[in-house]
Amino acid sequence: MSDKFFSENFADLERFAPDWVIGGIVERQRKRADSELATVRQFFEDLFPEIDRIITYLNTVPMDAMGGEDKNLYWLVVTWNEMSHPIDLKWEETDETWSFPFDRIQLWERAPTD
Amino acid sequence: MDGTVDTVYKGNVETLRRRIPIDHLTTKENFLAEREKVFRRSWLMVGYTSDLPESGSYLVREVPTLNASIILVRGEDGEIRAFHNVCTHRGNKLVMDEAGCRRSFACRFHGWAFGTDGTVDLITDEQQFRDLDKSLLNLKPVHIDIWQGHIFANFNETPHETLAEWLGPIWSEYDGYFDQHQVAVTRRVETNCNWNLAINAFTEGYHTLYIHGGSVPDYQGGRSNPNRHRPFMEMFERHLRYSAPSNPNHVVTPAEEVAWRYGKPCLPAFDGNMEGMPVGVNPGRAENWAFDVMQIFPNSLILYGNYWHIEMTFWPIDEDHTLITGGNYVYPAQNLGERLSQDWTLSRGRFVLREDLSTLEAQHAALKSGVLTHIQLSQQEIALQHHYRVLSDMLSADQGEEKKL
Repeated sequence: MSDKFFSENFADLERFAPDWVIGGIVERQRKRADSELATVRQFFEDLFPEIDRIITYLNTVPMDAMGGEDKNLYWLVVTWNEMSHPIDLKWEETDETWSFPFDRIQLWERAPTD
Repeated sequence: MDGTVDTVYKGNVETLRRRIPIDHLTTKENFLAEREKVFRRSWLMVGYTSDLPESGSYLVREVPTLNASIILVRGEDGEIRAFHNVCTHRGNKLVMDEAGCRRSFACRFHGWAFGTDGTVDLITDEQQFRDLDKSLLNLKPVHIDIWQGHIFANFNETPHETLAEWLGPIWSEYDGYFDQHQVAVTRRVETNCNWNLAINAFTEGYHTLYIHGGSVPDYQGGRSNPNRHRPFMEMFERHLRYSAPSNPNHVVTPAEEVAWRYGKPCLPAFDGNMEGMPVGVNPGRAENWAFDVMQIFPNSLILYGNYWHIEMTFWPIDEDHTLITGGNYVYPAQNLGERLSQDWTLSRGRFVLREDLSTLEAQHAALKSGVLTHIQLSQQEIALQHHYRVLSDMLSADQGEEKKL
C-alpha cells in the first residue's frame, strides 16, 4: 500500500500531508485553534496558489466515485477553508477564545460523496 | 452617504410591551406552566420527511420538554406516522437507536412486536394473557402533520387547531422553497440557559454589529444602513418573520473570492435575486435583501436566503437548560468545487453560531442572580416583544380559552 496521500500529478503537495489533511470537523477546528497564527498563515499562503489547480481537477471527479487520493485532496482544501478565516478576517489569534467552545457543539457533516 | 432604513412593520404592534419582566423566567413554576400551557398545546417541529425516504424508514426524536420519546416512521402505505416510543406491555423504551429502516419494532424486554402502522403484531406466549383486548395494545399515536417537508407533532390529546390553522398565512407562502435544499450538516448543543433567552439571541439583528464584528464584519447594512435596521418585520398571531439587510459595499476577502468562484454565494454573503421565489421569501420585497428569519412559535427558527436555509429548534430541558437541534441546508452541489464552496460558508457560519451562543450562559446566570427584573427592548428587538406577548397570552389562557389556542 502506498504511503502517498496524493496522486502523481499532485506529488508536490505531499509537504502538506498529513498535518493539513483533516477529515474531521472538530479536528479541523482544534488544529486551527491550537496552531500559532504564523503557522496557519504560512499554510494558507503556501497552498493558495495551488487551490485553482486542485479544484479544477476535483471538478472532473464524479462526486460518487472519489478515490482515496481524491478524498485527501478534498480534505486538504476543506482544511484550507477552515484556516482561511483568521487570515481573511485579519485576526490576531486563530480562534475567538472568548466565544462558545467549538467542542461543545456536536456536528454531523455529510461525506463528500453524499 | 450615511443613511438609515425605516423598518416597515406589519401586524399588531399596538399591544407590544417594550419593558419585559423577566424575574420569573427561570423559576421551576414558570417552566412547568410553559410546558403544559405552551409546549403541550403547540405544534412542534420534530423532523423532516426527507429523513424518512422509504417504507420502514424511522427515526427517534427525544422531546425533553415533555419527557417524551417518539418514533417517526413511514409505513408500508407511504404514510408518515408518529408513536410514543413506549412498548404498551410494560412501558419499556421500544426503539433504542436513532434511525434506520425496519418492517416492525420488537421490544427487547418480552419480544412484543409492532408494525410500522403501530399495530401490535406479536404478543409472545399470547395464551398466557387472560381477557386480552389487543385493540388497547397498539402503540400510542402522536398527532403529526406536515408542512413543506417539515414534520410537526402536537402532544395535546386533541389538538385545538390543525397545523394549517396554527401556521396561518405561512402555510401557503413557501411552496417548493425548502425542497430546493439538501442537508449539509446537523448539530446538537446543550446550553445551561433558559430556552427563551436562547431563541431570543437569534431573532434580532441589533446584536450583529457587535457580537459578530469578528466573524462577519461587513455583510449586512453598510453605508446606507449603518445600524443594520431590519427593512421588514411581520407579526402573525403567534409567529413572526423579518428580513435582514445585505451590504452592497461588502468587500470580498481572498478565500471568500475563491468560494464564490466555484459556487453560489451563501451565508454570510447573500444573493438577493428574487426570481422564482415564493411570496414568503423576502415578503416585503426589500431592496438589498440578505435573508429572512422566521420564528415558528414557540421554539423553532428558520433562517433562509437564496440557495440556503438554517433550521434551529430550542427544546427546554428544564428552566435552566436548553437543547438546541437543527441543521444547515444548501443547494444541491453539481460538482466538488461547489461542495468546497459550500464548506467555506459552513465553516464561517460556525464562528457566527458560536458567537450567538457565547452570551447565553452569562445572561442566564445574571437572571438567576435576580439583579435584573426587566429587560428593555428596542424597535429592532420587536420580535422579542412579540415572543413575550404570545407567551404571556398562552400562559394566562384558562381552560375555556384554551380552545382558541
